[in-house]
Amino acid sequence: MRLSALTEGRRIPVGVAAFLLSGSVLIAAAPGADAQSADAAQLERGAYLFIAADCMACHTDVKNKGALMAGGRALATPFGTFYSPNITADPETGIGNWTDEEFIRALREGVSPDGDYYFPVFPYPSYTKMTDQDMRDLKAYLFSLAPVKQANREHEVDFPFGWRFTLGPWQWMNFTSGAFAPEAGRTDLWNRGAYLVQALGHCGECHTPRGWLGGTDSDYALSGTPDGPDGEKVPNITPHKETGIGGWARADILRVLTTGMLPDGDFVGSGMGEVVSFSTSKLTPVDREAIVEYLLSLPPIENTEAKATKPGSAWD
Amino acid sequence: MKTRFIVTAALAVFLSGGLTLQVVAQDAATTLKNRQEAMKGFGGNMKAINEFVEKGAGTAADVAAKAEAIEQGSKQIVAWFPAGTGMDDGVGKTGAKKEIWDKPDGFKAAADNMGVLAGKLKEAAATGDKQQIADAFGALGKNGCGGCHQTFRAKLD
Repeated sequence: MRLSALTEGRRIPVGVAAFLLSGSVLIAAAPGADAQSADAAQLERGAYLFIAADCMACHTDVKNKGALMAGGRALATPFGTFYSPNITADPETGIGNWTDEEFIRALREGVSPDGDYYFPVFPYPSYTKMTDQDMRDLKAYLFSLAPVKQANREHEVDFPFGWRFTLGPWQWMNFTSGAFAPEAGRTDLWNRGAYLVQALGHCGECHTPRGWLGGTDSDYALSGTPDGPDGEKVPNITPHKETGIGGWARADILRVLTTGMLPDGDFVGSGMGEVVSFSTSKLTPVDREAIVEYLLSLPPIENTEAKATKPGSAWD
Repeated sequence: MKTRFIVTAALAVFLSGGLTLQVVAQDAATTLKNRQEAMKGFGGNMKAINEFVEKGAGTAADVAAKAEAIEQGSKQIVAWFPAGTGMDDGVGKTGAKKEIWDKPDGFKAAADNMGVLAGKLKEAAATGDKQQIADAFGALGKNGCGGCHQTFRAKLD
């Protein structure tokens, strides 16, 4: 029995993180079993989802001029260094043999086609909230890109976190699968924002602090952490007046998502610089509005315990 | 005997290292202060250009002048970051990552790129076309300022 089936209904912390890594991921159904004939509209939707889910940031080694979606980007975490896998349609080194159902299972359940659990550096605890249709559209778009033959690099995970068999119990403790359900009584804009923040944008993967086992701490959702990816500090983006974005004008928050500019003329860097470049700046204006609408509706969290950084500038 | 020599030598190295660090720290404090002011200068210019882009404040000629200032300033960036003034060097509060000195070519390329993008904004301002100015401004911010910050600056507060 699948462990995650046991956890249905448990409350889920907003996120966690992990790369599809594979190597072992490549068994597969008969090639072409899915015989996708993606139409233009589906590819267009998939292309937008690809941006909103910011697949680029991890699955392309941009800084070393790596091939699109061929993986290999290093991500240093407190648990070790992970290397993103190849998710091009190459059948040998990528995911070219995956069926739609296998792709959906990877995103929804965090389980590879041959039954391995993914490390939560792959943000499936967020992507699990995507709709089936969005997952299918995203896969169609990925499969429309050039297949690249590039073998995956082994992760360098610290003892004992590298034991994959521990990931099953980890899932049981930290994860509940299931698509996002719009909240009744909320506006469409709010629900769209919630979906963008919780599912596609996987904002909590960086902005929510993690416990010692690497699960995100839902009590501190989106309130920042000093232990972000690559050792970077990640600010509190709940509307808390002093430690979050509670004192910011809507236009200021929108502008960060649109151009990366902070209220004093500084420009965000580190991971958020990538997020702005690859993702939020390319969203539709109304989707950015939706994100702001949702963030400002959150309960303000004063995150001093986690020593979260405040949003704003670092002049040098 | 030998042990005593090693201990003494180690102590001497430790002490002199400590003294040297203190002297460097004083110089570094000035370096940090100056370059942080310079970075704030870039930010002030960007903020002013943004006012033009968002609200039409000022003129395209103002934008051109500020873009020119950013372009000129970009040529000095590398010199503002002498070795030993990074965030791991214990010389004061700075987000200057060690990558600046580990990848000097990349750092210079990032500074040069900002100069190029500022030049393009200057050209766009010369046309007076708002959309061109907005696009060039966006590119300068994201890829010039932000591009460098992505790799070479850590967030501190």
